[in-house]
Amino acid sequence: MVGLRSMSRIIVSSLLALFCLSLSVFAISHDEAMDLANHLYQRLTGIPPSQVILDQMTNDIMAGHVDKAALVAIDSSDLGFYKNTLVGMFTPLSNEDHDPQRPLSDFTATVVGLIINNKPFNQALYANVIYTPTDDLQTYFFKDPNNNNQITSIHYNGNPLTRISNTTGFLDEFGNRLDVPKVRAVLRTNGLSGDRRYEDNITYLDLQNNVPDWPREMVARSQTEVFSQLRSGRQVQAEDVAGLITSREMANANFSAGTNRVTIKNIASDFFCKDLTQLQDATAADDFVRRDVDRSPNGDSRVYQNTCRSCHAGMDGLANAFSYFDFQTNHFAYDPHALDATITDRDLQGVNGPRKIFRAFDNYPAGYRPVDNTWSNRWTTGPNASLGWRTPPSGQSVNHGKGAAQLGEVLAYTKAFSDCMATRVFKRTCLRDPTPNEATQLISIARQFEQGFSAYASYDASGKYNMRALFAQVAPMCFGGEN
Amino acid sequence: MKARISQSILVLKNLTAFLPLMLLSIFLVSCQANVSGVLGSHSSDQNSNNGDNGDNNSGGDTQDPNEANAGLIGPGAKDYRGLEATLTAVTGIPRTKYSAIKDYIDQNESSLPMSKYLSALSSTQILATFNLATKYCEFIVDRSDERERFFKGSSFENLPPPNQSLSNDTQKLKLIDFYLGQFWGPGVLATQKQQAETDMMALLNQTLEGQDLNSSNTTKTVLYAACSGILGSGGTALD
Amino acid sequence: MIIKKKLTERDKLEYLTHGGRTKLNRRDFLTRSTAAAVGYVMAPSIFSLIAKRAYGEDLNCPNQGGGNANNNMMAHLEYAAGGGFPLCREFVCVGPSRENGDFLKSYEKYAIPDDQGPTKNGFDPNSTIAGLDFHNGSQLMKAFDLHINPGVKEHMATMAIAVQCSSDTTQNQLSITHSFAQLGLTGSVVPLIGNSTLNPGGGRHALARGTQDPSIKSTLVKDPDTARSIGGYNQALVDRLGTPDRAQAVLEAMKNLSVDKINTLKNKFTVDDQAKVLAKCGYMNAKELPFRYKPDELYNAADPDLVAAFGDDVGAVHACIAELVANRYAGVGVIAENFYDTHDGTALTSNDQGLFLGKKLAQIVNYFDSKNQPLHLNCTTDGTMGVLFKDGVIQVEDVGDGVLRAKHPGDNSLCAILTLVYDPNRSASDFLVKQNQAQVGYFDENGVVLDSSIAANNPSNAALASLYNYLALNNMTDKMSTLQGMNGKNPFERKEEDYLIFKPKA
Repeated sequence: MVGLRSMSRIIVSSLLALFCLSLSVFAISHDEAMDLANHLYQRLTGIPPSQVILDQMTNDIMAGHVDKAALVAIDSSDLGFYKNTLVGMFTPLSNEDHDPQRPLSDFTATVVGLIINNKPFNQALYANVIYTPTDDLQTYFFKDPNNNNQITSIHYNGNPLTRISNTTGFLDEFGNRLDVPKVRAVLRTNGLSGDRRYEDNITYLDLQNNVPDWPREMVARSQTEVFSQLRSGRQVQAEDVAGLITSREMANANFSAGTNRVTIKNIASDFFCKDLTQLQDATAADDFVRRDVDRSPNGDSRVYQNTCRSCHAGMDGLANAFSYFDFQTNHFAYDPHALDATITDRDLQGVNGPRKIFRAFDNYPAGYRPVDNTWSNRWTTGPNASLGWRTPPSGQSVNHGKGAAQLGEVLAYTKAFSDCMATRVFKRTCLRDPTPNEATQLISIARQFEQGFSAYASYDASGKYNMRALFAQVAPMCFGGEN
Repeated sequence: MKARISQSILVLKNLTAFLPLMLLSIFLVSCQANVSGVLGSHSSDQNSNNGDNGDNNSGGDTQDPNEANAGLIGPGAKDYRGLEATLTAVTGIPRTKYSAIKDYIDQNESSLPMSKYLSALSSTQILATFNLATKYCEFIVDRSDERERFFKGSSFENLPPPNQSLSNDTQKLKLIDFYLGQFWGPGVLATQKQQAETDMMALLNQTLEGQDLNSSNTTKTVLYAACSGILGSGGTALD
Repeated sequence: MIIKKKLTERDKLEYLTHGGRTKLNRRDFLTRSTAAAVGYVMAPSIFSLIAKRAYGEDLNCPNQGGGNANNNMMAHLEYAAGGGFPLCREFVCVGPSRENGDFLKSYEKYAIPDDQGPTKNGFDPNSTIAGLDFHNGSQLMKAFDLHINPGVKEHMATMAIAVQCSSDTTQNQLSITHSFAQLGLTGSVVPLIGNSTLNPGGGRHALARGTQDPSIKSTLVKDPDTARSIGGYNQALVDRLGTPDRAQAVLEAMKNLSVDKINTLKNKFTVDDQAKVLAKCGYMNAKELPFRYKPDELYNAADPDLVAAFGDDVGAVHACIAELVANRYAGVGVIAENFYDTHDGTALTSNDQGLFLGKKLAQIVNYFDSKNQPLHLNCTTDGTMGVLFKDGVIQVEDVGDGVLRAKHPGDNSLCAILTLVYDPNRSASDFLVKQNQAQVGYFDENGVVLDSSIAANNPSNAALASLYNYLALNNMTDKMSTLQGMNGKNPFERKEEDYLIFKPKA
């Protein structure tokens, strides 16, 4: 039996060991902390830190707060996190080639806008929002149909217009004018000449090149307002707008050629981190597979049942949400009446704008014929239930809906979206794949991401789906490493 | 019985003496558990370096190979965006300020690194980065307004000839340290700085060799060479 | 309170020389490649190297270019036609033996309606290349014949590998670009060029399993500017400093600073010493690279041979890549072009793409002919286009010249690797082991016969089969088992009769 004296020695020794162990966890030298701070800052912003910032981050790291050091980097005035890290991270997602070398676009500008303004980032999949340069940076010009479509400035309140401050009022007053055929509003950055139109992305290129603090020089506009100016006479409806999915840059990837089914593939890849082959489900009901899908490819119906159906059953039902869109030769088109009327021979050739949906519809006349933008989700059961479908706060059904906005909202509230964002942030910060244990930890972080990280309230980063907070929470997973 | 009570009191006294220590330990441990971002809070570490001296079969150090990288940072290189942003930030010259730089970037941007992974970095990309850096160095050395701005407050502000500004190691180190501070930022460790000084000293000496030490043009040449070497190196390009 | 850190095992190991270690703890764990290894590895030599504060001179830096031109070996190009171009429709898809002739009952599944199908008497002997027969209606062959220079076909041969690919383009393991450097084909400047950043292989296809070599970096070439810049020569630097020696001294300093920086990546960084070594090698090579060739030497758009071969396409990506490979500046090149999809369902589009592809292939071969350089070119695609039936009747479209072709509603999984070889020192009959056999695996009326070869249902094996035939052409089949990814074995050993189509020069 252990004597009391021995017992006291054991207790004392244990306490001392515990104390020393606790201290040793925080045992990082100043140089090591500074080195970590330097690496972390450059990793998150792309540029070296200032002395002030470096000192602050070093102190945070020495105190064991790598997450707060990360927030210091993210919020630094050079805006490197937004201009370099976020743009670099999201540009490959914006185009079909996954080309990282694209100039700033409405896609990446909106990503930055949402994050710098602390908006819940899942709104990127459904909000009626697009970030553009502020009014101070823009000049509104029109092609005047009464003057051979020459670019001219608009007179507003009796004065020649070179810049406006009230976009909504301006558009209200000139709404009729904008609906006149062949008249399209152009947005252009200050000081440049020529016809710079939103349709050709020049606005964002100018913004990136000419405005150093551009992340703070943007304003959120509604896509419906802005897009309406691109398609005279065809007002884009709010139910058909879905954040980044219907941005012009991603529309080029989603709605060019084909039948808009690739949109589902792109969403899965970009926002669920899933290849379409990972979402194959041959058990899904195929009642929404469209008529252009041959049920007996090469005369063999087994090919359809075993292969084609496993993608199309789910994909076609969801892709109907985007039925009104088309993108041809730099022109982003929308037509809410695209599916009306009888299908013609020209439709069957797939050369008729958004009516391209009807291409080859005589392949299998018994198949599904979309009549509007109603969509149906065949992935809530079966293997794809693992995407974590949840009813959004609005009460939108996960099984069916109308238009891209409702579908986007359902996609935005899946677990797959949050898990994917957490993984992307990890890979971008740590520049490697997570280990199996880290992957488990990331799932836990993803759940917190959805609810918000209350610890970051003083950084204005405690809201739901806050990406700044997500970066801060992930950073210690590699930059907080022991020796 | 009395002895036992005395011993108990002794134990209690000892315990009381260590109570603050105990409380502090508990506090520290609980802080470790709850506050995110603390060092060592990454996911399971099956190998806590508990004495394995590197010999074979030390038993307790069996590590799941899949967790080998847990908690570690993947080494990285700046992609073209980061490089261009860094060059602008540390030289003070925006990308679009001079057509020579803008055009060079537009023509050669594809050759710059597109990926941040160090494993993807090729020699061609390294050279593209270096050559871009030399373009910036041309402007901060050869354009008088940029040179005055950039070197303001340093020994080289007024472009003294080498026999006044680079005549000994102390003076040469001033140039090297000036560039290191400007281009690599304040986060350079002393050991790293020492190594860089050694490397660059050799370059300065080689560049000065056989040159007219009374001429400011020689100073410019040295400024340009040193600028290119430091700004175009991995110290700038890797993160 | 700062507590001095105990020296970790990681720190210790950095400065120890190891040997005979069979088990490594966490900090000692190394990866041999970019993929995480499972199990225990030995890597004593890398530690000993890093332990020294070396500037890289003592490193063995493989595959950094700068090798000899290795003109004894054929150049290798890959043309990856992304999308659903029906390559296997263009040539006659024979069955097991060409002696039996064209055994297919119907070419409908290959988009050739019955009454347009070829017969034994229906092949134009002038419209074939030794090895494969091409259909009378082949637009690829039509364009190739139109643009190939007289006499060139007499030094060419073709073969095909029947393969089924079910994945999207980037996942098909149809590329072998990393395998050639081990044979010495590293180019005098860079080992690998390509116009796509999507894959380490330099193109859109993934590399054949196990063949990825982390020391081989693909250099992006997509236009004349990037072609000229692969050497990184900086004339302004040389002019500014006065002499090439001074310029190289700056690069030397740059290299030393960079190696120092890489040496600091320890402790908290992933234990991927191989990547660090390779990164140092990159900087080492960067010091030397610019002084091998000047930009205009690498690519000169006014070069008469280039203009003669490519005409208006002289600045196009296939011209740039072909030029660098033909002149041995690059070891291997990949051209990836992704507009071969015919998802609009029309046969006309598919037809046009055949013309388009045929012209480009002819231009490339013409250029190699002008340079007297032998060429091994793999033309690949992912799944071809399926054929549309309606009520059991094939749906066709007139694509012009009275040619009817089937309509194509979407991808199927039929593929092929079509190999064209050219050697100015060989006649057409000098390439083939058997004059009546130019295919690995075969097709039937339903498509690829899955048990016709180990490549038929395995894109990786198909790529390796083309590699094996490359080795055969160069009289190097004994090297197959030594290449990375082969695990010491030749997968085609004792099956040469089925897999060796080509033979060495007599």
